[in-house]
Amino acid sequence: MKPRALTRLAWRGLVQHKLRSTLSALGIVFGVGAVIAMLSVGEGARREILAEVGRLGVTRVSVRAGKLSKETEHDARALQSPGLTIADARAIAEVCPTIASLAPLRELSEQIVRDEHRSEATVVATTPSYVRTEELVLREGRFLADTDLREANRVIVLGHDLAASLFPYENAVGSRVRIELDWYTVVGALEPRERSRRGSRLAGRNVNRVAFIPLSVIPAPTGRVDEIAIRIDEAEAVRDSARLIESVVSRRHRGARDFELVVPQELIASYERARFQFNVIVGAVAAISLLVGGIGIMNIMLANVTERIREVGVRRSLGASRNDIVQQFLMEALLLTGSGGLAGIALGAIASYAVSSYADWPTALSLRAVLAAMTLAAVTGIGFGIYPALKAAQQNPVEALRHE
Amino acid sequence: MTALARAVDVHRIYPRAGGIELSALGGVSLDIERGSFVAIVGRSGSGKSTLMNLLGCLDQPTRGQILLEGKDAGALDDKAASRLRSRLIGFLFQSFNLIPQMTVLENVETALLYSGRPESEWRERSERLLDRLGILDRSSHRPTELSGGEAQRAALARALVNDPELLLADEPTGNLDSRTGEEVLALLEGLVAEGRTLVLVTHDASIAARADRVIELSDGRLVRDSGTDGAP
Repeated sequence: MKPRALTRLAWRGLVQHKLRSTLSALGIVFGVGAVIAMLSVGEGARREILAEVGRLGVTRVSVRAGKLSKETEHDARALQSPGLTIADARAIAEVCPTIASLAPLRELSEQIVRDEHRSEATVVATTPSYVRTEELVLREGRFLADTDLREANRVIVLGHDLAASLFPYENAVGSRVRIELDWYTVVGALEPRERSRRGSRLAGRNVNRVAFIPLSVIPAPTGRVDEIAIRIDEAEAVRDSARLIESVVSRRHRGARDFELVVPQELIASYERARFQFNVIVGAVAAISLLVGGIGIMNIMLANVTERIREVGVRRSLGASRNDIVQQFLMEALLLTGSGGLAGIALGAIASYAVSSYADWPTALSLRAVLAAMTLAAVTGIGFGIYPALKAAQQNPVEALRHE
Repeated sequence: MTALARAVDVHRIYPRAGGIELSALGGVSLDIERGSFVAIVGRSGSGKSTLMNLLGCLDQPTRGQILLEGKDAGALDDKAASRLRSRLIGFLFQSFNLIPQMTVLENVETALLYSGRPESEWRERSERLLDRLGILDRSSHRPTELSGGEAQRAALARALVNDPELLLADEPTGNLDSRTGEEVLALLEGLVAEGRTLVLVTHDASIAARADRVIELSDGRLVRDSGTDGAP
């Protein structure tokens, strides 16, 4: 039989029982739908992580002052840890040869005022090298300079959105803004930077809403800082460097766990591990739902075959070979699961769209997931359709013709 | 010239539950010549239908041989036997055996599906036959919407659409009233006149009387063959 004639024949067989065919394909529809939705969520998370890491750069590492719980605070005091300080930054820079750039920083939430314009902002007090560490791009003016740090000059560099809201019509550079009671001269403004989605672990700070001032302007009594931002010179060196940095800081803190090392590259690795577990779960869901769906298909195909035994006999008398009969019923099963698979992909795409709009999770439908789903549906169709098809074909034509 | 179909000492034994065997045919030999009209008569259970199914390659003998066009049908694999059935043989049944979900035209075209003929010819071929049999106006109807006579004509169109040499008809008029039965029989006789071979199973003596040759079976054995009457 030619494929086209075969497809038409099988399609006609299914259309004769629209409701029954639709119901029997539902198992496949929901199974494939669930798998597609889960894969979309997984793929969305993966792409986001990769995009975040790409944005930060795989060579970026941060040491952050840990949020102290009661227990770790007690430990830190008992161990006489000084907390994260500028001295730590210096020690790291001395010990670790692979560091391209390093900047300790403190972070405050302040209101920045210019005439009648007021803007809530994150004020980052840091050193001039932060421009390299964070790979900031200046739109106008300059970044903080070494002399600013040395002389504790009250100068400020504004992130793009901040500059735009404080200086909607005029040049920011050269003007003065006020933070609490102190006046700062604007020396630079940044280019806008594409923002990652909020709430993600790697998002870091929104540099578009940050104002930078010299670290020496607001000195902390013990030289405490909130973070040491580090850029490693090569991606291959990140892992070893991170280990070295951790040991340096840990020793200086006398073993107190009052800091946290954030390594995007490591996050990818741990994400990959999590993803493997996720994939195992998706695989299990796929296997179970397709098993259930497949049993439904087999059930209905067996009913079809029994009901149409006489038709099988007639076809055999007209010259259909056993093979023709197998092909016909197998194609029916394949069409059932195939169209069920297509509907499932549509359902899964809708579900993942719903998830991303209601739960605010990123989702992405990958071609690989679609192909995998279609393959699974087809395999299910053949796997569970073969027995009913063989049963039909093995039927003795004479008895089939006599069947009522 | 070899016979179109030949049975050589054909036995057909059906296994039954409990190790009992049911012998439907016990050693039947006969030749069916091209262009002849052969009636097979006998009481029910005498093996008429079994013989017909064997001649039509739908069933294989337990012992003995069926030769079609001089070739051993038992030696053919399923695919080859199916092809032979499609090309050489047309079946006609008492209960018509039209596929109920399909229209008359689709039923006829189903026979072409297995013939290997190009799809472009299907419609024309089918409609020409339906026209000849006087039911072209019924081609888009379903079997349930047809009268008995129309249904048997549709079945005949399906049996003839591959232009088979041998027509095997199992009580083709059994479900028809006498007038439409007569019409169908007249059509069949016309086909014999055209040179086709007809094997017709019946228990109606008046129909058998119109055949060139009558073969009577009883308990799976050939008890009378008018074609060899008088010869030893």
